Amino acid sequence: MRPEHETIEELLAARALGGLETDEERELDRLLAEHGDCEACRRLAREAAETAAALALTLEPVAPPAGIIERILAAEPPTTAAEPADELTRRRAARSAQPPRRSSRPWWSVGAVAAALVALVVSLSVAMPGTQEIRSVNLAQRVVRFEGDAGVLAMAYAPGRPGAIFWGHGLPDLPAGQVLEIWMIDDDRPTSGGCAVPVDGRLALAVDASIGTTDQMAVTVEDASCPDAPTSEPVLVAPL
Amino acid sequence: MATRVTTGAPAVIRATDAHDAELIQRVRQRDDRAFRALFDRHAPTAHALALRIVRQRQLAEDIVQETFLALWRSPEAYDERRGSVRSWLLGTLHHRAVDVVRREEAQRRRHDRALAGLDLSAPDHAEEVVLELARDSERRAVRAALETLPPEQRAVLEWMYFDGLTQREIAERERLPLGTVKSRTLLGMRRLRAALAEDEG
Repeated sequence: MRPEHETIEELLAARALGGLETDEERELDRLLAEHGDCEACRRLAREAAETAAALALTLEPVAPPAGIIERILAAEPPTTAAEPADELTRRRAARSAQPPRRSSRPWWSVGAVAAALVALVVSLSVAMPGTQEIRSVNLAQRVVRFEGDAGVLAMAYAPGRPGAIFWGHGLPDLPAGQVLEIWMIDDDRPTSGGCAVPVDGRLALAVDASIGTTDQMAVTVEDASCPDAPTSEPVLVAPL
Repeated sequence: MATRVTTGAPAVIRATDAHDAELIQRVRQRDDRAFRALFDRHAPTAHALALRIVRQRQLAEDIVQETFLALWRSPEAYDERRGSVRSWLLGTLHHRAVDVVRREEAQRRRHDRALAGLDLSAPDHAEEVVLELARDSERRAVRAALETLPPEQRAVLEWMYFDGLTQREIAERERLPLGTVKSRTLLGMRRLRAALAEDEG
């Protein structure tokens, strides 16, 4: 093993236990990237994962409610959301598959708002003027309602799957040259989920970004360039 | 005592690997019976781990459901080169659970409210407790392996894995140099892995 493998082993061990801070995660990622196709690194990662998982085996197993397996199997297979109109979406976010990382200094305070996270038990049918029909939301999907004073906005998504659908009403009429931009905040890092212009205060938007590890969602008013980073405070937020 | 460094996965993990690999291949072909078999095999441990970390029954169930739903929908996400199905599932669930704990500042809640009203040894329904008799010896082996660790190493591993603390947080809370916490982590993991491998021998 190369000398730095001890450092990698140390960081991999801590990561497998969930004990790294964000900067240490980045350092480990950097070291692994430097090593490239490194069999020793893969072996160390496997060993750390297996050893950490063994800790879970010390617990007495507790069978989950029987309904869980049925809900999973009853979940609809992935559906292909209709492509949003070009003028509605400027960017798609490519989400990382990295494990969730802790947030130490949020872009803005999560605690300032409350979100209603509701697991749907019934199907919804929503149709928005000027957009495609959103046919249904199944049992495995969740609906999050944004909080704020800029109208009503909700998002439906299926945890662990790419894609999310937004719909809203009572949204602000924006001056020419301005758009609403949707942000996914992960580990304090906002990533654009797309830009849209409400029509008569209404909005329907499908994006193919994954919400899987996102800490919270937010909406800001931005100029029509749909910037890569927010330039204003959010008008709507939704902690996940 | 010098820590014996071994390679490869501990025996307790290997015992189920072959069947899991076969099952996940079938899950990739949308075989729901194979998925049920994987669920039956690993969900009780996953559920116990989620309960141990988040200490809230509904939240734990949500995390288990999300973890297995992700497996059902994207079984190709599992990469056998990175370890066993079990370590992948438990690792995924662990990340989700710790993330939830940290986001909701559940550490404070757990210490304040602890397990009030939640007796993990006596769940609501007797049928919810699955005593996997076939796994008892495996569980005993892992516990025995953990017992071989010096208490200070074992504590560091458990604080991180079960309580969601980072090494820095442990160092601050325990008033230890960060380097000490890091070395205890590394030595503890090495020793645990060695003890598990020794059990195999």
